[in-house]
Amino acid sequence: MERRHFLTASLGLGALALAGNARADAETYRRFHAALARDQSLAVYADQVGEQAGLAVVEGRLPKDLQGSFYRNGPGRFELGGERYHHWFDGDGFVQRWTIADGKVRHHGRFVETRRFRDESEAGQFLYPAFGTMFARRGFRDNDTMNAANTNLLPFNGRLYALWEGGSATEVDPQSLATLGIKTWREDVKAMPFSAHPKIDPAGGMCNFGALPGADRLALYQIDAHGTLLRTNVLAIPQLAMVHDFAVSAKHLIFVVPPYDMRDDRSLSLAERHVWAGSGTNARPTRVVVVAKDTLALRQVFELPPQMVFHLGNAWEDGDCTRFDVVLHAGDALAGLGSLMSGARVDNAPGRSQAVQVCLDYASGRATTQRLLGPSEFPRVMPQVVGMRHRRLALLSSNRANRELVLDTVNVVDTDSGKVDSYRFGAGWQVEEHVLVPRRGARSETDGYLVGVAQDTRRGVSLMSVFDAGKVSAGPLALARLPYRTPHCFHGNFLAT
Amino acid sequence: MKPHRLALCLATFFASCAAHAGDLRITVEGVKNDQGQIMVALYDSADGFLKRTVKTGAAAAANGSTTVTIKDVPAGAYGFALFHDANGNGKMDKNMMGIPSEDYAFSNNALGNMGPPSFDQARFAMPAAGAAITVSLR
Repeated sequence: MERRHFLTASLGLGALALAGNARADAETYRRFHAALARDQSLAVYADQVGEQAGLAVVEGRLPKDLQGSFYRNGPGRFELGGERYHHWFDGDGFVQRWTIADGKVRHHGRFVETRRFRDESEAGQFLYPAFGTMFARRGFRDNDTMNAANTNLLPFNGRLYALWEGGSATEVDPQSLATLGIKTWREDVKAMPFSAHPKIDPAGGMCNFGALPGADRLALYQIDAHGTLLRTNVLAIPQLAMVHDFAVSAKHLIFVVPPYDMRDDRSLSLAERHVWAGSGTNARPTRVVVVAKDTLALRQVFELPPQMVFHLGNAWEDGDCTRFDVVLHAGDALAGLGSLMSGARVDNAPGRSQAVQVCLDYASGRATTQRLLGPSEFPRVMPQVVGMRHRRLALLSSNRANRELVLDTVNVVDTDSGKVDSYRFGAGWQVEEHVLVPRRGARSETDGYLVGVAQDTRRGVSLMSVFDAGKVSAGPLALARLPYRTPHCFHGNFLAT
Repeated sequence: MKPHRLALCLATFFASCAAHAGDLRITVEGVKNDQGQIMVALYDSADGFLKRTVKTGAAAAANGSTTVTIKDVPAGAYGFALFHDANGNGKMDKNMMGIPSEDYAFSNNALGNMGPPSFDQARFAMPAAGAAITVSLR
């Protein structure tokens, strides 16, 4: 209290300070179900109820040296009490494990039992603010009450973490996927935002960050291989909006900050408060914020033309420059994603995004880009090259012939030559993130597999797909087909056994 | 001021208080440990809520449940905010992002939405005879 008025400065969520009334979202529910009745492929964004477990039927030949757990996470519950969330990022985390052992593939999925999931299940309706939908039916103490634990599932130091980005990691059991609880790395960072995209150092340990849009603060974390928090810092970054991912090189942490203004309207959700500031006469650039890895201090800020960013690939030091991959989206891609929840897909416009490699020249202060691939998303590299020079980048894309944006193609791009090795699943298919998995003792970035999930929307079932990372165009080595549809995941990681 | 005049003043003061003021007894549940103090700030208006404290109280933290008594509170409408100052530094600690890192509660167990609750949510009536209220830090 400074004894007298200890909460004057609000509860520290001041910049996020919202109050407002809950808005009924029955209209989104009605529109989605009307669209789903016309187009069964939208079932990919349908609501999930309860647990899933099943044995997949394997087509093709599973490589004998690919054994382990493929952990994935994405939003599963979008609907409750006749209401439906407005934004894809809002749903409760449904964690999944594909287990590959002895030539068999099993799947198991269940909800992360967060505070929010339990309270709202009990109440039979949404209670707390979600990223893109404002509910204010019940008050709460801190960010973790709103934690959806829905973005990534990360094996680290023998444990498994369901990650969100506005609050703590949630620990789940690596075998049963049962929720163990909120992870507090150290008391003084309790309930702080911890992003869903930590970067695992091939030598052990991890780097991560947390952003509070509107609070203009970026928290940085360095954690050792045993899970001990070694170092933290908070950087003041003016006009900080949603920062979803970053990249780490041997010497730097790279953040890309898209131009958004944060509206101060307390009745709006966090997503709705993001106002695109990259168009018109007062357009602001996208900033590339470079932080020194050894001190966690700000080193330099570069500018790129105004574009939206969700995901980065890898970063590495190239002489006096730092290079990193990033997917740049034209305009306000954040709002565009919202329409999926009411059953409207985005147009597959050719110029809507591109994957590029950015070169940051510290001497001139200039950032230059080199095109890697057209409209695409979900960039990943082999885990053994994180922070080092890499030559391959996995990406998903939507075939040009598609009228609507449906990711149906997996790609491995040679970042040196620009050559693309692709496989298109084709009409009626939608692919989810594919990750690169090295063979034991891999000698190159193509010495391994590209593993992911594809949804066969005509049959309403999901499959795990396995490609040779060096020969994607030859088609999948194996497809493991489930008798049911799994909730669409955002991100995941393969843990070899 | 001579001693007897002070005594007389105080006596008058207490007598006048006694007529329409009572003790506010706050039982705080969910106290995690015996360290530090439970600190309470009392407010009497929407304008002054979390800004102008009318009375304060404190008690050594007792694991599980702690009682803090604020004496001679005139009858009226109030709201309070309290926190467990576990490290005894006299303030509610926040982490690097400004999020409270010590346990806190408001009267009525009111909770805000991305910020503190309003005075209306925390408001309770204090009768002249005194009141006993229970809140939880959980």
